[in-house]
Amino acid sequence: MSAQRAKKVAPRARAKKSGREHGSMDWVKKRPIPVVSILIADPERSSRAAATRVIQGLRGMRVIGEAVTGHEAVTATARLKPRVVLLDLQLSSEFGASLISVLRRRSSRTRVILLVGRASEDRIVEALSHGAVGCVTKKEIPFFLSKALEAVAAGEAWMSRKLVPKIVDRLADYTARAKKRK
Amino acid sequence: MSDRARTGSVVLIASPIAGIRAQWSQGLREKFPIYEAAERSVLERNLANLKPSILLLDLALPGLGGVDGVSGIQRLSPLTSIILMTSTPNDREGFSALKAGARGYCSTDMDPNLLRKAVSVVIKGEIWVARNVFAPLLEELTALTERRHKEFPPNLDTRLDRLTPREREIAQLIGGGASNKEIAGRLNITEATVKAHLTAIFRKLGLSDRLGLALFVTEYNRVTR
Repeated sequence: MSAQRAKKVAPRARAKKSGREHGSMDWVKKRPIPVVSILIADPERSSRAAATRVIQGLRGMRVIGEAVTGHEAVTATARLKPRVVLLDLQLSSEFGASLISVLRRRSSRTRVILLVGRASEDRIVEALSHGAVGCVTKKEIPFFLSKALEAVAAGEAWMSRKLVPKIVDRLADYTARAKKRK
Repeated sequence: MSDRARTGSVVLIASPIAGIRAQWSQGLREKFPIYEAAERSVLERNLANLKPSILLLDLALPGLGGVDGVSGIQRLSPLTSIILMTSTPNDREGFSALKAGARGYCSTDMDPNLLRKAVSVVIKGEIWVARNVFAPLLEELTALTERRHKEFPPNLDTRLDRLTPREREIAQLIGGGASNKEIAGRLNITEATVKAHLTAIFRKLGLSDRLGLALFVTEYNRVTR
């Protein structure tokens, strides 16, 4: 039942075409499924292409823009208010404060997933601490980007398990310092 | 390798229920020496004597005192990694368990093979929790980082220190949205000089244009103020 329904709702064009034959298609127009809009902000053409390829194969997700510099990412995010920004980790530190917090302030609905080329775990955790909710290495884009997008669209987070100890350590460190001050 | 694991990593199992202890040791017995504790006093003694690598700790153990009790147990044997086991796992509690120092959070009736995997992963220094716990974990990380930045504004930009006082003045005016002409008028210099200063500023800050600079300056001011 639910599989059938998902099929019917899929792309708009198909719904329209078959709408005449099946009287029941009217509700499709009234209740469009929300599309997860995605902005890709990465200076590397190959990463943008890899991400686009993955997203094209996903139901209910769409690339609505691309950015290749940090400030393009900011202006595009402010204008398009995407649900998700795929952000190159290198770009994320282009501004004095992390670009991630800037993006989040310009568009509060936007969630940031980091695309990581080569970076230490510390740098990734640093970026996550500014409010990114996901992180996928560029090599793993074909395997994990879809999972990351689905998790983040559902309000969850996505990252490698290996980062968890670093994050826990950091939380403990903050808590210890807060105690010391008291 | 398995011999080394056998001699190296002792697993201590603490649950008041014999059936649960048997179930847990089932998947681990071949790989690790197992010790058991059915009550807190035995647990404490075993911790002191054995200094196990892993403690599988049933949240239902009498005298534990809930998730917060984990930190007390941890203090008894700081090098032991504690995996908290509960019959009713939930994300929030998993998150609290990690904060209390647990290195794993699992369901009591976990599949024996999966439990063995969890134990191996935790021995390697990783943490075993459901992916659902990642989101609250990152939320907390962001919240604490923001609070900390508010209390102690970080010296985010050492890059701005590279500018001369004049360049800094011009950067601030750009941040306020001024045009080259306005800046020239305000500082009583020619537009050509403003442009020369701008080129130097872009180079020093690694930026490519004035919009980038304007964003940079506003962001810098917001964070440092």
